[in-house]
Amino acid sequence: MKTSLRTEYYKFIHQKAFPVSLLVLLLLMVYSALTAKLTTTQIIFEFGAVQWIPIILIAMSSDFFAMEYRHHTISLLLYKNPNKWQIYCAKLLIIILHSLILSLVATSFTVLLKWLLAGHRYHLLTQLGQQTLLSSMLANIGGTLIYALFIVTLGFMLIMLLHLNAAVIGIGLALGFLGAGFSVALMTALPSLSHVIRWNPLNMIFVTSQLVNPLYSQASHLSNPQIISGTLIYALLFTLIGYLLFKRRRV
Amino acid sequence: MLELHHVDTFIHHHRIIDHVSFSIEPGSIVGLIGPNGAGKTTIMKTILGLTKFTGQISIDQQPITENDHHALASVGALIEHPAIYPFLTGRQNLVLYAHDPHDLENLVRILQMTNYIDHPSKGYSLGMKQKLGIAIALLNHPRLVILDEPMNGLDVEATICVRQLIQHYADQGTAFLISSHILSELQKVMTQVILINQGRVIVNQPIADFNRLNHQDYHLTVEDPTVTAQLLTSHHIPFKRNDHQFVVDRHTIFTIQDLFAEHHLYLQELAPVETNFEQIIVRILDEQRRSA
Repeated sequence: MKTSLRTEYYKFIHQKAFPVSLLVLLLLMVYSALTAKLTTTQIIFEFGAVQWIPIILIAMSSDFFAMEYRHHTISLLLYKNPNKWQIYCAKLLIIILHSLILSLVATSFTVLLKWLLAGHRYHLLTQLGQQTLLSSMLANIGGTLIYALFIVTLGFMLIMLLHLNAAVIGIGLALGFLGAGFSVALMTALPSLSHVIRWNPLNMIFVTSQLVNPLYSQASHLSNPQIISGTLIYALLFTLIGYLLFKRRRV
Repeated sequence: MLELHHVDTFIHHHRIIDHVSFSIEPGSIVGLIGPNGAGKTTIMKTILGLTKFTGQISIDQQPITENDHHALASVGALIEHPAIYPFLTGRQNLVLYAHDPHDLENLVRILQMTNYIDHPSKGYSLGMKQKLGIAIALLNHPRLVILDEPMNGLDVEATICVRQLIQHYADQGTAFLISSHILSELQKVMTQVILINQGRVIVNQPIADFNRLNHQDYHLTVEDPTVTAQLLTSHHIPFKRNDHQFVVDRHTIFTIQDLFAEHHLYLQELAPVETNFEQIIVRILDEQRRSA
């Protein structure tokens, strides 16, 4: 496993997508900072990073697997590794590690942007209700990391299912921008079934916001422990389905 | 070291490999020959655990399955396309798998890749990619190397270089399974020939036996051609004559030698007629098709 992780890490950091993903995140955060009024919510949501990170991750996760088929390196990868699970796990872990890096960069850049735009206003230790600004930021990024597991495993599963990178990215964008709205609309339209519908995968995106703001749980109809468990169970399910599809895929 | 027992491979419910059994010994260079679609690449992929199969495949008694590749730890391969990441340089592609930097440098030097090995591999020509693919297959002194059309895109110098490298590794105990349409190249190095058609093994022989059995005709040079012609005619032995030289069927040479001894005639030369390897393969395949 160590060797698989080492080779996957080596490939990942040498791909253009690695620095580009960091640059895109920073540019999108700057765009959010310059086009919207600076508020505590902007800072807590790290200038939109909470929304951008999952979208970046789904694009990267699907391409990290798709490139092996595109470059005909999958045969070598398969026979050089003792089993397929090891390949799948190593790739998954590298992208999850990247979600940590993106989150760390986003948090650091938020602090820098806040300082550049507001100086000493919005001090990180400012009390906001029962939490400080900093702890709200961290809770939010915690939610993003939990959702990252969901989105990365989904990206892996979809690329095994659809074999088409563009389609996976399209689904990722749809989830990021429309998923929550669609889920809420569905529960509003069918209130009698909301106790079932609230467990739909689109609803899990609320984990990125409701850990900080409990008001969002009214939209998701799930408590914090429920939405965290739901997100993790979906991540596990996507991992298993994705792996089975990978195992069955011919080279 | 490599053993296949009754291996069947099905793709989309079609039997591509049909009850294939053979073994490869350390240091041998096995040529896997057959027409397009015969199943050469599928056999190679099956050995590498890349397809579903029935039967047994093992390396040093360690079984290979579709999801257990531990036995392949010391196997190198080049299948269909060189497995190269275009965003990495040639050297970085090698570093991904190399255990020993000296071994890596050695291969780069022998394969004459020094000038471009640190350039991004996306700019490589077909031949450069092919050499890099061969270098990846030969990294870490594998015990078995599987090469599918290794001479694709190589120029004359590179072809000679790869051939010598294969011979060098084989001398050190590495076994090779090589498929190539350039039979003349294979002929120069292989020690064993496996001919397949429609997924079945038709021929599996050491190359010496193969050559001996498939040389149908022999040259016969004698001191006294007139007496020889009379003797052969009188004993109903068919021949073609060209001055002092006769061409006779392989099956008659022992009878002819007995007759010569009896009549105190002396041979100046008895040798198989040089037959083109490709022609032999085509003939065997034709015979197999006719008998099928």
